[in-house]
Amino acid sequence: MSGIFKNPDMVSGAALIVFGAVATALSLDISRGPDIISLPPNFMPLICSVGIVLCGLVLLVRGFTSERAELPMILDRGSAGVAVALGFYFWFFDDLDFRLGTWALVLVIMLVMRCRSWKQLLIVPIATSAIIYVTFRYLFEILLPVWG
Amino acid sequence: MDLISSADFMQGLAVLLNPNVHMFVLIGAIVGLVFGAAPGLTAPAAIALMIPLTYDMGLETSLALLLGVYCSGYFAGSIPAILINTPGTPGNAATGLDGYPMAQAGQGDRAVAIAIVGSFVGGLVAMVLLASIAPTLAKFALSFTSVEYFSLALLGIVCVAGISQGSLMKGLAAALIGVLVSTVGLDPTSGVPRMIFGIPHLLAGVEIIPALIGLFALSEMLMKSHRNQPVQKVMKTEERMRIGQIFMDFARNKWLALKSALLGTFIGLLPGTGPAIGSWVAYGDALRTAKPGDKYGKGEPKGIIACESANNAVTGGAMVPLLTLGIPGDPVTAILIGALMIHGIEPGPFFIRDYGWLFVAIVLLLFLSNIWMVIIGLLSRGTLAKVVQIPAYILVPVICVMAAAGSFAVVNSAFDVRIVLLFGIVGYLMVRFDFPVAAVVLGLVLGPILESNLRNALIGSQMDPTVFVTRPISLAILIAMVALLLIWKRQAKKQARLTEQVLNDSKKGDET
Repeated sequence: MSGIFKNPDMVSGAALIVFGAVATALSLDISRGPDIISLPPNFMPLICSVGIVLCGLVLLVRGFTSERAELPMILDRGSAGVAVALGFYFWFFDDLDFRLGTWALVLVIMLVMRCRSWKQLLIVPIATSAIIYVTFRYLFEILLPVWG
Repeated sequence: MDLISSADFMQGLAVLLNPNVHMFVLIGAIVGLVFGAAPGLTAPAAIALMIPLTYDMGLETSLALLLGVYCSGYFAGSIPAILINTPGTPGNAATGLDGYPMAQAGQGDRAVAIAIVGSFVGGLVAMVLLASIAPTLAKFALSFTSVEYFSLALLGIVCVAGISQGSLMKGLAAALIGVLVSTVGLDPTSGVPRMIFGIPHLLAGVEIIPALIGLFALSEMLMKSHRNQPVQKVMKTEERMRIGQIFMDFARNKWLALKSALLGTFIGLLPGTGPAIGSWVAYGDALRTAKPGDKYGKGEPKGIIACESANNAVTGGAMVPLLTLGIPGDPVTAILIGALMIHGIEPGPFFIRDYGWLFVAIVLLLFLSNIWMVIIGLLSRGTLAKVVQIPAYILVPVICVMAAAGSFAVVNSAFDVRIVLLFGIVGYLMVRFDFPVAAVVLGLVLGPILESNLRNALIGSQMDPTVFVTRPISLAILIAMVALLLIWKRQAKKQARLTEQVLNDSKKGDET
């Protein structure tokens, strides 16, 4: 990626242009609705989308005319592992048993983030799962997803 | 006509008789101190995580909890700034310039204690000004129409974009993304669905609380999960200061504290600003009026007094536009709008007239929060220093589970948990590329205000757009917006120069 993009501003600019262009297309696709004297429903989304494209263009040009700079690393091995675990946990939140899922998530994240204390690996996942479940269930009377 | 009657005043005062209120202010103060002190956690993240828990609580108790978090969270960010040279929030960055050298010189405890008392002074001054300015401004705002409200919301958005650290374009793009997201769902006038992708959950729009949790809490946790986090040495705080000595420090610098608190309050009054601007402006002013012998950047207590008095004063100042105009002064007050709306209360020009008792209660709760903040802060400053050392591998999973459970609790919807994930990823990418996440939040909150008032203003003027410049108050607001942008642009340059100069001086001092 660093071959095409000289610096972070160019990456941000290109991303904003793509995002803004998609949003512009979606805004143009919004139906006009009943004929009333007011702004059309797509007025605000369209203004914002076009504004985002313009901001992206400015950033892209600014990046193009600026010095080469190191691009920020999006994910390293640690954060990639955490992101995958979180993605699974959040996406399938209501399919998982909260107690079991939380225990597993906390354990996995601690391992990925290089916790090497077996005492903490034993206590923290169980304690987190139990304390949060009991607090929500009995203090706030909120039923978190459980199996059975 | 007085907006607040004596009956309102008595009813507001009666809130203090509720023991639960005191308990939740105390809990809020503790939560705020822990979140602020733990590097990588911030006051907005704490409040975003707490809001779902307030759904079943009464109005007074939920506000007690949130305001407790608000006051303490802003202060506690100074603890990691002082002890590990990593500000807990951007508002505490300037505190580290003198706080860290003090900690290096073995005066970490003194620096933390000065920050606590400074924050208390700032909070008190701001509270007094909130109580005196807000009713007058609210009375004036009763004459505003959609035209003025549109201009004010625009001022808020442009200001937050303009003062964003990094670049104006990034701030503006972030604010526009926020406004764009706020338009998702049914158009309020025509009922036409906008960008819902056939998902019924989106008909009512994107729920703001899960979006906030994702943007503030989840993105921060993803940042903390990087393996190449710098290992910081925590400065010792064993050398304890006597409380009397700390108050002597303040007695000597009372005018500086008062001036900084006033600066912070007035900066908080401006929509879209925040504690970061407040503390830098106050620090800059303290530097400008430095006396011979002052050693700013090398461990000068006055530097901490100026920054902390100012950044906590922003809390009271930022409540003024929220409670009188319905326009948030900073990211936390943007989140507080959500908390008030949960209880069916819409902040705006009618707020003080219709809920005078609640306004009185909020002022008193801010006062109570500041009292608890200073008591707990001074008593537990040794323990708070230990919070800085909580390992990331414990913080990250615990906060993420709280984020998921909290967002699910809002309306028992797994869809909201996915919204948290989506906004967490967006927030993380924005932070990686130096986009201000706070601007997205203000865009989300101000978007509907902007759109509805633009519509009403245009309909009321037969679609004549010149109405925004022909009405004097609206014109004044728009002129102020342009002027503020120019001033902040210059201020940002000055701030960058100031930071560089102080850091260079500090380095030179270290070398010699």
